[in-house]
Amino acid sequence: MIIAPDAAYNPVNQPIITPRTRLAPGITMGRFLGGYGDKQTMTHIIDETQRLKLAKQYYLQAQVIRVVADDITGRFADYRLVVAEGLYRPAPGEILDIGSTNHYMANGQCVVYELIDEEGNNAAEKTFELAVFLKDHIEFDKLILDYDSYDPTGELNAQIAIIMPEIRPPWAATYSNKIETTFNNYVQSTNELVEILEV
Amino acid sequence: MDEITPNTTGSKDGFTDGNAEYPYRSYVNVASTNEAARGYTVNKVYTGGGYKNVSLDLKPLAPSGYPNNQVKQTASGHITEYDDTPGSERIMIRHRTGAGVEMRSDGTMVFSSTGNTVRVTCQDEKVIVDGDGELIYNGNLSLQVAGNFDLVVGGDFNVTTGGNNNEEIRGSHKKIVRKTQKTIVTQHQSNFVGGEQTETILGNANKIIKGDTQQIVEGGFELYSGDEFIITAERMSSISSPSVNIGAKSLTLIGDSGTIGGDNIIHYGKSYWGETFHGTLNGKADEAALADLATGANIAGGLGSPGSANYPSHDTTTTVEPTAAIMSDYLHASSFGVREVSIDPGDVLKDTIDKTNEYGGIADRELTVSEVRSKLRDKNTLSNSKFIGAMIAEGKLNPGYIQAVPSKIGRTVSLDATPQRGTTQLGNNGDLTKRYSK
Repeated sequence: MIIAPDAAYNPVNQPIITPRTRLAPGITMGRFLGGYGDKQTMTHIIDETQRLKLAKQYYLQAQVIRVVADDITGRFADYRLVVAEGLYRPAPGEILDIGSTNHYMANGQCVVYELIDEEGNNAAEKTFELAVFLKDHIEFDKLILDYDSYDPTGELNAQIAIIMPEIRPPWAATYSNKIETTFNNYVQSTNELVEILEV
Repeated sequence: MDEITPNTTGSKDGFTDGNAEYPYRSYVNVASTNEAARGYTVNKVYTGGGYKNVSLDLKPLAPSGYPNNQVKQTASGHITEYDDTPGSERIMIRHRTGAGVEMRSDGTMVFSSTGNTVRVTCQDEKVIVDGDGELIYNGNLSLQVAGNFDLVVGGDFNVTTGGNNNEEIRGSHKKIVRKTQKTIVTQHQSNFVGGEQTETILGNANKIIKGDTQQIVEGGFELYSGDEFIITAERMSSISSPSVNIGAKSLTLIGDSGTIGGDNIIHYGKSYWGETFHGTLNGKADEAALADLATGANIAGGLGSPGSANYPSHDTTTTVEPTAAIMSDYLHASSFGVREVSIDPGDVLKDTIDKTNEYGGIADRELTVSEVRSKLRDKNTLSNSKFIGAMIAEGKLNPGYIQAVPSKIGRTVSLDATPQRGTTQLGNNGDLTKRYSK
């Protein structure tokens, strides 16, 4: 599929790529660096080509946020979609598993989102509905509805990881639209979204 | 809203619904009074939820009681409400996008913008908040102050920077710490001073270095001590200079082997103890004194009377001879001996600031629960027992992380497109079951 980016937000048209580079109305590169779960900078990426590549990948992710924000049904109006994990930078001694979510996050293909309610809590139930909504409204390589009980309190946490295909220059991508549900990083189902209610 | 007769003809005469738009589906065959006025729906401006662990602290809105709520809704969806419902008194002005202003019954005001917000104050602005505040920018933030920027913090001032912290001070920098200051640098620190540096320490100063240290001074280098000055080295000490002066009222220069002196060294002393002396002696040895016995004999003729042996006076003062055994004691068992140096054996201290070893190479600093979740997305990390053990021990990870199957599941949805109720009215027949698929 050929992607036709909005000229005003096309990273290719930007002189330099910085955290202030705008990818969509109200969305900059900084949104994908400041995930509350793992804040990063892009100072370690010196090569402008790599920065541009990253920006193009995040352009696709910015569209995900816009799709949710522009949903006129208002079903997510009382919830905030936040970037929980954006760009991933491995620790000096950390070796990433090729094909893992972190591997895709390290090259900008993957972003992990979380839905927060008005009380600032993880909205697990609504997250399932958001996953279904995204499945029906956006193109992606893989959508992972990810549940876990990692929190020391044992509470259920729900997030959505969206892996976008790697953009082939100038703007071509092949979307597989695969979906998956995981619990504690164990795959519960493929080609199916499963709502997990209790740990 | 006034009663509107359903019209499907698309009449353009100005007295009917020309676009066949009214009534909306939800008003077909029911009273045309706005649903919000009747308490069937509750309109509110867009808030979009809080942020992780940040609550908006908004109380739930109760439905209005008819006829206390004056609702005006325009064709495009703008809404104003003046609600006098006892206990739920509020005022709301909402744009069709959800942006607007809301004054709630408890006095809470909600300002919401679904696009950009522009605020311009041509003169002064005062902001007074008696309670707490939370500011969250998911993007970047730039703050420009043309004049002075004064910040007064009554309590702690905590700053966490995920990336670099670059600070340029074009004037002077003065920092006063009334109590203690602690700086931890996990990797390298470099100070560059173009001019003079003066460090005045009124208490003790300790510098503990695990590796090597070099102090290179192109100019003069002076070390003064008002009390003892001790230099020891476990392996070797070297001092070299074209001219070295060592002066003491009481001097001890000892070793069980080695060399003292040189071609043009002049020795002064009171008493010398040794085994062999080579070279010219200006003085009289004991054996040479015996030659005095021969000074009475005539060189030719008869035997004369013997002379007397004039022995030089002896100073018999002794100190301890620095034998190998004594020097060994001196170096390793006396107060003047070599200090054994061992700094942070086993890197125990280092591991407290650099967590790389403790965390199995996965991170070099302490992590939050969310960061642990992020790390565990990788299989290599999941199987890193050192990291997992540390996280459980620190209370950052639920020991039940290994649970592979949840106890209860709910809805399931396949990859097929989900049937959805349309958001745009299809016709005007009031058919609530109309559905479409993507």
